[in-house]
Amino acid sequence: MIWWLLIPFLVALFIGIPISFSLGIGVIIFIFVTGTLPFDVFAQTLYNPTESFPLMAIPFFILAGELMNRSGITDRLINFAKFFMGRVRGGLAQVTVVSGAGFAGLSGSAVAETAALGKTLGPAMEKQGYGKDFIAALIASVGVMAPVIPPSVIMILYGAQMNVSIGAMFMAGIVPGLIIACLLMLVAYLMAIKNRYPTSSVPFSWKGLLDVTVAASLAFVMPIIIVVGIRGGVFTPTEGGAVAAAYAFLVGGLIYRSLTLNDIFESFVRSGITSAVILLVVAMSAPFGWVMTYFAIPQAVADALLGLTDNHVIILLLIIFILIFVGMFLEGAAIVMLLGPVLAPVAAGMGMEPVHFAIVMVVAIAIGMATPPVGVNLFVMVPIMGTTMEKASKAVLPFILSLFVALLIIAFFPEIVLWLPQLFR
Amino acid sequence: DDGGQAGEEAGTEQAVELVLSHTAAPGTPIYLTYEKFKEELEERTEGSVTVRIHHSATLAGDTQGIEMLQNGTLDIASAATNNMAPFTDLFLVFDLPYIFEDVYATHKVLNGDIGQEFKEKAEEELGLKLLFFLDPGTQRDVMNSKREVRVPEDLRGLRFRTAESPIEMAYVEALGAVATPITWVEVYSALEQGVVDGLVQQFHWVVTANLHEVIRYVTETGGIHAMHMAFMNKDSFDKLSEAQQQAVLEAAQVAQDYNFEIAPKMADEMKQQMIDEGVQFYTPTEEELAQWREISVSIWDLFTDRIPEDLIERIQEAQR
Amino acid sequence: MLAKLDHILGKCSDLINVVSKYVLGIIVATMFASIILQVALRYLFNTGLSWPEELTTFLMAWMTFLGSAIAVKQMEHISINMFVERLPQRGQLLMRLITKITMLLFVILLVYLGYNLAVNSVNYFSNALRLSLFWPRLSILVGGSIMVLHLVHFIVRDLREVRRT
Ligand code: NA
Ligand code: NA
Repeated sequence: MIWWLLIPFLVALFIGIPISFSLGIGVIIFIFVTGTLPFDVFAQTLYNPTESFPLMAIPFFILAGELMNRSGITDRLINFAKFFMGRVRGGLAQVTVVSGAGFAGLSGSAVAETAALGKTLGPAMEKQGYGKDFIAALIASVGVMAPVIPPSVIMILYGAQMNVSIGAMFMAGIVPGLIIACLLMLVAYLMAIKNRYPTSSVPFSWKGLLDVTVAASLAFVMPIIIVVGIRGGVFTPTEGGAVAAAYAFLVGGLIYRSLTLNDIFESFVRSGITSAVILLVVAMSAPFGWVMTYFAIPQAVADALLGLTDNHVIILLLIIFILIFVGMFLEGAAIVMLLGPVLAPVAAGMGMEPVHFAIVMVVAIAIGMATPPVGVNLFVMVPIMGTTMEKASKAVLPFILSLFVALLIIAFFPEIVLWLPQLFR
Repeated sequence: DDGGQAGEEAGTEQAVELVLSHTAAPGTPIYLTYEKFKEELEERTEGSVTVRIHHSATLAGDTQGIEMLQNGTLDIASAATNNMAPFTDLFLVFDLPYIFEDVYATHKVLNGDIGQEFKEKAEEELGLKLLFFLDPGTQRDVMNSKREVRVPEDLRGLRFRTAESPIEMAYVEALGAVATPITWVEVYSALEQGVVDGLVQQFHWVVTANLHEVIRYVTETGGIHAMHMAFMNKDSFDKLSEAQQQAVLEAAQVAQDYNFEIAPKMADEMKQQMIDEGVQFYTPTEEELAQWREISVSIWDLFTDRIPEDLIERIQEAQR
Repeated sequence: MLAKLDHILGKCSDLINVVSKYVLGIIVATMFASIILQVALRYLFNTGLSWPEELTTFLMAWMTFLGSAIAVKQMEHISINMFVERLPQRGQLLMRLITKITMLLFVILLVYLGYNLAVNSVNYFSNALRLSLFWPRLSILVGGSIMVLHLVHFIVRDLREVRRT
C-alpha cells in the first residue's frame, strides 16, 4: 500500500515537478487508490502548518537576514570575521561553522538557522569565491546543529510526545552539538584545501582592527539582544525572529541610513516569497505524514526491520538506518510523531537510557534535514544561493558523511551524551 | 477458503473498524479510558467492531479532530469543552469558574439528566453523537515558576500564559496576573525561559506536556473543570447494526463510569509525580479560597449573554 | 490564435503577479508589526493583546499560498531537474509540458478542496478576533486560482514552442 504513496511522489519528483507539489500529488493519488479517506482531509491537514505560530520564526529570520544584507550590516560582520579568520584557508567557512554553533544556541529551528546564516553569510562567501554548491551544502549542514544544541523545537516535541525530560534533553544536546561542530570544521577545512578556497590578504594593523570592530559593533549587538532576550525570557524564539528583524530595520534605516523605503518594501516581498516556498513544502509534507500515520505505515516498516535479529548493536544500527532513511523523505516533526512511539520502546528494551535514545533520534532527525531528496535545510539554501537541488545534494555528501560519524559516536558512547545532564542533576 | 471468519463468528454483523483520535499521553486517565472503551466495545461485539486508537495528538489536536469528525475523516474524536468554542457556545458553561463545586459534583451532574441533555443538544447543534464525558481528574489550578501564591494578590506582576481567548485572558487578568497568549507547543520553553511565569491548568495536561519540570509552585485553587468529551461521527454510528450501536452506547457508559472512578484517584498519582519533580503544593484556607472564588465569579458576566440563564441555575441545583 | 491567447494570458498573469507582490509585502509588514507590537506592549506596558498572535497566524496562511503562487510564476519552487536535463531538446520541452499539465490538474483539485475547506468553515469562529475561519482558509482557494492562471499561461506558451520546433 505504501507504494501508492511513495511511487507517485518519486515519479513526480524525478520528472521535474517541484517537491512541494510532488508530495501533494503522492497523497492525492494515494487517497484516490485506497478510497477510504475523504479528499477534504488533504486540504485540512495541509492548511494546519501554515498557521502554526512557531513556524513564523521562518519569515521573520529571513526578513532579518534580508534587511541585514540590504543595509550592509552583513558586510561589516564579514569584514570583521575576515580580519581574524581570513588568514586560515577557507577561513570564512570556519567562521560559518562557529557562528552556526552560536546561532544554534538562539534558534530552536533548523530552518530558521539555515535561513538566517544563508541570508547573511551565504552571499558573503560567494563574494569571496566559494562555490555556490559548497556554500549551500555547508550551511545546510551547519543548520543541523540548531535542533541539537538547545533550545530545540524537535526536543520539545519529542519530550512532550514520549514523556522524556526536556530539561535533561537540552543539557544532553550540548556536547553532541559541539562534536558536530568540530567534525564540520574538519570537513570544511579539507574541502577548502582541496578546492583552494581563498585566504584574504588583509594585512594586520591596530588601526585596521579598530576600524573593522567599530564598523561591525552594531552588528554584534544583535546576537546579544537575541541571546539575552530569548534566554532571559523577554521574548519567545518566534518573537525573537521579529525582534531581530526590527533591530536590523532600526540600524539599517535610522543609524546607517542605508535602507531606502523601497529596500524595506522589497525585503517584505522577498522574504514573503522565500518563506512561502519553504512553508509550502512543510505544508504539503503534513498530509503526507498524516496518511502514513493513519495507515500505521512507519510502524509496519519498523516492525518488519526490527524482527530480523536480537543482536543489540545490529538493532541500534538498524534503528539509525531507519531514521536516516525515513529522514530522507519526511519532515522532522512528522518523524518524531510517527517513529518516536515505535522505536523508543525498542531502545528501552535494549536497556538504553531514554534521554540517550532521545538524543540519538534528535540528531538523526536533524541530519535528515540536510539529506536529499527531502531535506528542509537544502530547500532553504537552494533558492538562497540560486543553485540546483542536484548540485547541492552532491556537494552535501562529505558533510553528511561526517554527520553520520558524529551520530555513530553519539549512539555508541552514551557517556558523551549523559555526562552533562548527570552533572547538573 | 477466503476471509469472512470474523464476520461469521459474530453472526450476521459486518466487521467495522472505527478510527479514534485523542490528545492524551500513555498512562494518563484519558488515555486509559479510551483503552477501556476499545476493550469493552470489542468484547461486546465479539470483535465485529474494532477500534484503532491514535493517541498523543498524532492524528489531530482537539479542534482539528472535531473538524475531521465532521467531514468523516475520523469516526471518534476527543475534545475539551473549552476547545469547542469555534464550533458552538453549547459547552461555554463549563468555562465558568467555580460553576462546579468539585470534580464529584461534575460527575453527578453529567451522570444525570443534564448530561443526557448535553448529548441530545450536541447531536442537534453539531450533528455529532456525544458518546461520553472524560474527567482529566482535577479542576484547573493556579501554578507558577516564581513564588508561592496564597491569595490572588500574590499574582500581581506575574505573567500568565493563556490561550488566545478573550475570556481566558479576562479570567487571568481578573485574578491579578498579566495575561500573555502563547501557543500550547511553546508553553514549555516560554516557562523555562521566563517569557511567562505561570498558567492555570490541570495536572493531567501539565504532566502530558512535562510542564512540571518548569513549574515550581501549585496553588490548589480549582475553578474550571475543562472536561473532555468523546464525539462520534453520525454516519459512522448510523452505519452500524442496531446491536453494534447498542454496544457502542454501553461501552461508552462503562468507559465514563470507569473514568469517573479512576480519574480523581489518578490525580493523586499525577500530583505525586509533580511533587517528585520538586513542585511545591499549597492548599488555600477557607478564607483564601473564598477570595479566589469571589474574584473568579466576577467574570461570569462576560459569558452570560451566550449561556441560557436557567442552565446555570439547573447545574447548580443538580449538584445539591 | 495560440499566439494571441498567449499574449492575453501573459498580460493577465503579469498584472496579477504585480498585484500579488504588493499584497504579499503588506501581509508580511503587518505580521511583523503585530508581533513587535505584542512584544513592546508586554515589556513597556506589562500588558498583552489577544489578537496579534491570531492575526499573524492567519496572515501567514495567506503569505504561504499567495507567495507560493508568485513562486510558481517566477519558477522558484524547488525541483529536481537532473533527469529531465538529460533528455534531448524536444523531449525536455514535452516533459515540461507534461509536468505543467500535471501540476495544473493538481492545483485545480487543490482549488476545489480549498473552496470546500473555506465554505465548510464559515460558521467556525476564531477565539480572539471572533472572525469566521472562512477568511484565513480562503487563502488556498485564492492562491490556487492564481497558480491556475500562471500555469495555463505557461502551458499555452509551451504549446506554441512545441509547435515551432
Ligand atoms: Na538550537
Ligand atoms: Na532528508
